[in-house]
Amino acid sequence: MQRAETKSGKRPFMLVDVSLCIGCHACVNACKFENELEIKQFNTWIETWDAGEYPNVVRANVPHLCNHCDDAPCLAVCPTGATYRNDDGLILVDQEKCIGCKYCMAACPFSVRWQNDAGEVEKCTFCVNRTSAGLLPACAGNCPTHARLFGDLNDPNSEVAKKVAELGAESMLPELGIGTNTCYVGLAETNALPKSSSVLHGGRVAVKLEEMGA
Amino acid sequence: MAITDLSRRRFTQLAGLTGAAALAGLGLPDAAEAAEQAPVDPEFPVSGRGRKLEAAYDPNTDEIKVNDEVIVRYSNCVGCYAMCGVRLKLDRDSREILAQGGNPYNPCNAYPVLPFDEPLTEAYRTMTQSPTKQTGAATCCGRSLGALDVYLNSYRITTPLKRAGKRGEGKWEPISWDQLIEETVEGGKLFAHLGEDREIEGFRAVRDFDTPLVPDAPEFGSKANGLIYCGGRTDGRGQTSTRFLSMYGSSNKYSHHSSCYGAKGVYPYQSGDGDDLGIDAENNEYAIWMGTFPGANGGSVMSDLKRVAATIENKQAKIVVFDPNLGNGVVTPAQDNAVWYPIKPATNSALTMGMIRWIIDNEKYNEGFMCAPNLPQAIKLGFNACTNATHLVIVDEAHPNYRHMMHPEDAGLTPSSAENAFEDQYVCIDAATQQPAVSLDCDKGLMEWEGEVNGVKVRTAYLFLKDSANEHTIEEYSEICGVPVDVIEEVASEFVAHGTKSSVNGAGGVTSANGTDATSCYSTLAGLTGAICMKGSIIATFVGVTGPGNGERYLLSKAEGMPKDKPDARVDRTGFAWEDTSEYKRRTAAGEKDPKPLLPWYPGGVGTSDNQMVLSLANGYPHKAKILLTWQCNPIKATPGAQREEVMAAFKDPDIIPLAICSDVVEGTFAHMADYIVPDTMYREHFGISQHAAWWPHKGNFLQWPMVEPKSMKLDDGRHASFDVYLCDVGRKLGLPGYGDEALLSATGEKLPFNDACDYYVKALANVAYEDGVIEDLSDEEIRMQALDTLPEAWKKAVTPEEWSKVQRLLSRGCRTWPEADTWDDQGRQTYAGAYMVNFYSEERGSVRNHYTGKFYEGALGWHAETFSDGTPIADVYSREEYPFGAASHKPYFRCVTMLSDSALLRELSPHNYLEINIEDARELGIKDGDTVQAINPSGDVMEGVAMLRGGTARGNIGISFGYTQDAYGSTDLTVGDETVPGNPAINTGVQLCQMLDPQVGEGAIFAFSDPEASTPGRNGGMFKLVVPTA
Amino acid sequence: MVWNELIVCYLFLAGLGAGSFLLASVTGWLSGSTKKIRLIGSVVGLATVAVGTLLLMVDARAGLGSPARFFGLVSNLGSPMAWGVLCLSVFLVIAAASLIFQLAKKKVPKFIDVLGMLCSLGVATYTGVLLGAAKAYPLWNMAILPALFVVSAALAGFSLVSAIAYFSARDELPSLTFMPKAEVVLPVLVGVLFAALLVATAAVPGDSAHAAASLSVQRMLVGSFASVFWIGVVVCGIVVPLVAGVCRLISKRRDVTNVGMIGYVASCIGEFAMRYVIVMAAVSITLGAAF
Repeated sequence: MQRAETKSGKRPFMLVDVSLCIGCHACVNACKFENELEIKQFNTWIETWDAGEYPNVVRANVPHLCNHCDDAPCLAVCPTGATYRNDDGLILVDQEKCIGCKYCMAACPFSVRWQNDAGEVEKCTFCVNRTSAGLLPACAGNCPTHARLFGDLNDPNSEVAKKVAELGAESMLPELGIGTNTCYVGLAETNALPKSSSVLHGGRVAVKLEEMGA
Repeated sequence: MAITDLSRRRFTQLAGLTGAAALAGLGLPDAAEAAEQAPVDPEFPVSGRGRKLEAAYDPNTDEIKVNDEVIVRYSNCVGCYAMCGVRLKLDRDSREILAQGGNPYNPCNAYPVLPFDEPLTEAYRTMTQSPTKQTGAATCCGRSLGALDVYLNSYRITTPLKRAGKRGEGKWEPISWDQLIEETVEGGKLFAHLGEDREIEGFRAVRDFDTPLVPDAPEFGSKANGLIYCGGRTDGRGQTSTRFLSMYGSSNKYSHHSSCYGAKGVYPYQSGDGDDLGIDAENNEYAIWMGTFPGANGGSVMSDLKRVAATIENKQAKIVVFDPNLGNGVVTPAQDNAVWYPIKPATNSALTMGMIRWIIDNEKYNEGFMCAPNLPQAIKLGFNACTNATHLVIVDEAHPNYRHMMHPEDAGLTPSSAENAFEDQYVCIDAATQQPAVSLDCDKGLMEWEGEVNGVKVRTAYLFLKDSANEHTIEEYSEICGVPVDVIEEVASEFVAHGTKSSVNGAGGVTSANGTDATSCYSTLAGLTGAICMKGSIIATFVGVTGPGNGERYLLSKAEGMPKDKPDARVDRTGFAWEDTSEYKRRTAAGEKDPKPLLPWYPGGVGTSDNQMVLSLANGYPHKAKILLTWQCNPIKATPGAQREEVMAAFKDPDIIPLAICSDVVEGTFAHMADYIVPDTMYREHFGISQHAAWWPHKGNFLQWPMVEPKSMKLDDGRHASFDVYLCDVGRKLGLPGYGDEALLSATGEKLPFNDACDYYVKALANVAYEDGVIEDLSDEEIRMQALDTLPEAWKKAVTPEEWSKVQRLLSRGCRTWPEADTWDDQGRQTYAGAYMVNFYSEERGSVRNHYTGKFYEGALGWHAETFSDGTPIADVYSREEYPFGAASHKPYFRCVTMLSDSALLRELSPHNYLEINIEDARELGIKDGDTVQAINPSGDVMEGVAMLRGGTARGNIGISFGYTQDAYGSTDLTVGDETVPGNPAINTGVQLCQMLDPQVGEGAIFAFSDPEASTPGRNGGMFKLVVPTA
Repeated sequence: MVWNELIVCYLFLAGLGAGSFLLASVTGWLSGSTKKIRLIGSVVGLATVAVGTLLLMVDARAGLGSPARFFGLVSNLGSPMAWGVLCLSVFLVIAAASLIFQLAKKKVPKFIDVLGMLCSLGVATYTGVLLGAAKAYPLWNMAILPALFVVSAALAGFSLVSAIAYFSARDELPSLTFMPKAEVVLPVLVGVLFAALLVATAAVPGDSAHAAASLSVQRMLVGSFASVFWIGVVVCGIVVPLVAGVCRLISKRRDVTNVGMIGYVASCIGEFAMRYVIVMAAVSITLGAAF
């Protein structure tokens, strides 16, 4: 994979294998506890639906989280510089500078940002505290099927590098070409299947069957 | 969610710098980065959001550095009933819970499993990016974390409560522990202050061995059996109640059993000393999951999931799942090896018979295996179980043993002196001599033979199966279950092709009105190929050591003076024949011809039935209770069709239940209807030990232990209130054997006190530590790592100093596992398996008559449509044209059976469930996604909910996520003293599956329709119509 | 939707103010008396943009809680919002300066007028650029939106100033010689540009983008925003002003009449409605993702 260099030479990377995700929400809830998030605050969530035409149906589960894009639209539009990129390439938010204009929220094509009680905008940080100390982030550290793998893509011995070498990596919304650091295995194949149910967030209908697609 | 002070997360040290830099408007990213990298604790940096780190990992040296400020402990989760392990990360000083995850030593949370002897640093390593970690991060599921949310944030009952209004009003007064014990033991006019004049009998008065419980009906035993107990899934705490009930002398002890899958494993095989069978997902090449979904089932969800997911991914295995609902399990896109086939509810046996028909027609069964007449012979052939295919069944109507197996005596043969793994001896036709022979003494029998032996008409057990299969064509079976013929044939052929590397099993699919057949499917199929207790086939589970029982160090099931008498019949009407009841005898003596009972009786061997106990008490038949003692359970909710006004009214009726005591932590249904609530501990706070319950072929025990101090009321003597302590104090006050100061026996004959759970369970842990190999002491370093030197003194005092260090090692791992290499012998047999014989014909089934019709049940597996108690097909009483749907429930990740609605986190993810309807069915009915619809059963019950159209629901099925709605549990106001906790109606949103009543039982009886043989509820199946309400 | 009615109000006020002040600045090149009209345009421009800016600060809750943070707003000049802050700041200064000159009964220097025109165009344009840069919303088309916003701001601003002048400076109205033509051209441009926006949006490629784009257009044409769209944007914002403008253009004396007044009021309603649907009806590529 040809990627731009990060300052530290590391590239923290999350690989999500959609064929392994079962929608158990261990990741979503672990993140909630690790980051002490409240109602309506999600750094990550899962979209679930029935894919395929009856009776040849499978259950699709696609986790969403911040992609820490190389060419991050949020970074480009933040007027105060509260959103910044650290040496490892992670996109982070300095809460002290954020005025809550929400421009980044409008710019993010993945809708991963949210506003906290004070009005500042937050999002997934790849658990920067944990991962910069060599630990797994809360989500990948709680995935029962290891659908989520996390590691340094630039280290050929890491789980992610090995799996990417074997199976490749797809971005969500690849047409944007913004170089995501959260990639998927099996996403395009999943999205190519027709949907035969509404799209759920967890157990709640988020997009009804009739509302979907043109 | 814990509301934390935002200012805590500020970079307080560098706020000034950041402010100045902000004003300057330049160089901000660097300053912010500097803030990011200049943490409070340089060794374990935590800034912004995020909890304290448990360790740090250095990729250059591959070293783990454990953070002294954080302790990580391992135990077991009870967020549902899969008995997975759990890991808690705690702040060492405050003991605040920082995070929860899985236990790498526990096979439910990790695959491969971290071996028991690996040091704790290796467990830490699994949470890092280290490439040398022995297994991936050990995990619990999202629901487990919902249980953490409940633990941290939901309202909890922590003190004893006595009702201050009528039952079910939600009004309580807090009372002292002593008053609780005094009143429930001694009884009296306990509610005189509320204007209730009744004299209530407490534990002491009810424990009367001289008075019969029911006058003129000695089968029900003494009055002591008027103590009716029901518990939920005990997950290792079962001995707490079992011991009390045994010492008290009541056999009316019920728990989460037949309401879940009580039919399972009852008839289809005999086992010498084995237990439940499960799928060996680690080693199989092909598996049929029938009525249970890997990754979304009521059993060992996580352990199945990891193994199935791994073996699908590495292409070792291919699985097929037959289920009316496509669950959130391993059937996902972008993989080829797991496929879902929709099937109509309650038709698993039709599918299986179709497969068996193909196997028989094409002679693809393993004849060598089936013709082995005894276990040693089957083992010689390379197998690890046998069948009764060649055994003769008496079909002579005149014979006293009609429809029983033929024994040597019946055949005029001398019984064998060979060692017998089973209770009885059987007769077969020797293939070599073509003469009758005792099966134990024979090397090969004939599978298909009928004729006379010793003048008695007999035929081989296999023929019953064959005849049953030939009742219908494969096309007919396909039509019944909705699975295409080519699929049935393909699955059957794959199953046999993989021999002993094929597995087949299920769970929830057996709770239907034809569940007895459903449960027989798995072993019957496996019995055709020998795929039992071999590597890759169905394997024995629950393999572990005793622990809380009579073990190496302590004899915990023995006590001097234990009551010995057990009644023949219980209130649940199982295990006893109607014709043997005093009522029957009295009525026939009075001249009544063929009297019928109000509710059905189940003489079969299902064990105890919690759902039938509920229905019995709801009707006050066969008798009422003296005391109802319940413990963290809700068998009313677990019995679809039982949650209705009449049943609730009965439980609130002091005539039926004079005294109701419930031990729980939340005001659930039974607490809501109780007279007294005993505060219990929650998981993370209590002990429990059990054999491993995963579908896992190896040997292990898991344990629960108080990783944090209980939040229930602290008594004056320092103990924390719990059900264990309540029973200890009641036992002591009553002077029960096995309670008090000389209650617990050591193997060396000492008599030790029993005052709290730790007295008992820490001893049980010592048993686990010493049996089948004594484990090592725990090192001081590891003791310190988990702060196991700060544990209560009472625990240490419960065992000897030598035992204590080994107990600490068990606590530190949260389980004990034995080396996996010991599980298989060199021919792939599971060494731990007990003796199994598949019953192609089950005499236990076939020799029982339905007391309504007088007809015998079939002894072999067959396709039988759902019936009412009297054997009438439900489709003959109600019209399938009018009620074309069946229902099937499935397990969500956002509730659990009867709990977790009080988690705000889970409710946010899933505020309510839906009526899941097949997309084509819905279109035919004009139902759109999101419409409000009603599912109505022939009894007129209406389930109103929001429709969800799915391709993942079988045609003719209504799918319902089980566990939504509550009738109390925080959804109604709760008044304790002067304080009222307002009810939150959000806890009650959703749809509860409601099955119809059985119209064929006695006049005026309220009876949710059930399997007539196994008594299990007709949860899946039934009849419904879908209506779009116009108003 | 990320932004709400507060931002819609800001966009409305900013557009109105920019258009008003544009007119005030343009009077510098007109012969005939326009002093009162200039004053009206300057006061309205300064007041509405100032209030609008305040609304922006109220919406930025975190900044509102810690106002020192607002000083950081021009840190990232790669962001259209930073440029917007600059435009607004300069606009307020210039508008205030112009007003000071006028109140002191002095002639407003040409360079102030030039800057005034530039700032007005800047304030009206940058909002379109800002929305256009947010790629997550296919409705916010970078090529069309800025132009649409400028044109609609001009229409509303000119309309408001003319309406006020009808009561307090009627004699000066004929000095705005270009106005009768503008009152036809502007609504036509608004209509054409908005139609172009809808067409361009409907044709957006890419699965997710197309779904979101179609849904946005659908919501406006037949869905939950249909009434605001048809009555507010089309009728009030285009048809009524166009009819009024044509009436004026073809009339003999080309005076402002009651019909014209109706057209002016309608334009302002229309400008609000347009900002409203553009902000609120837009659907993001991630469809139902937001919580």
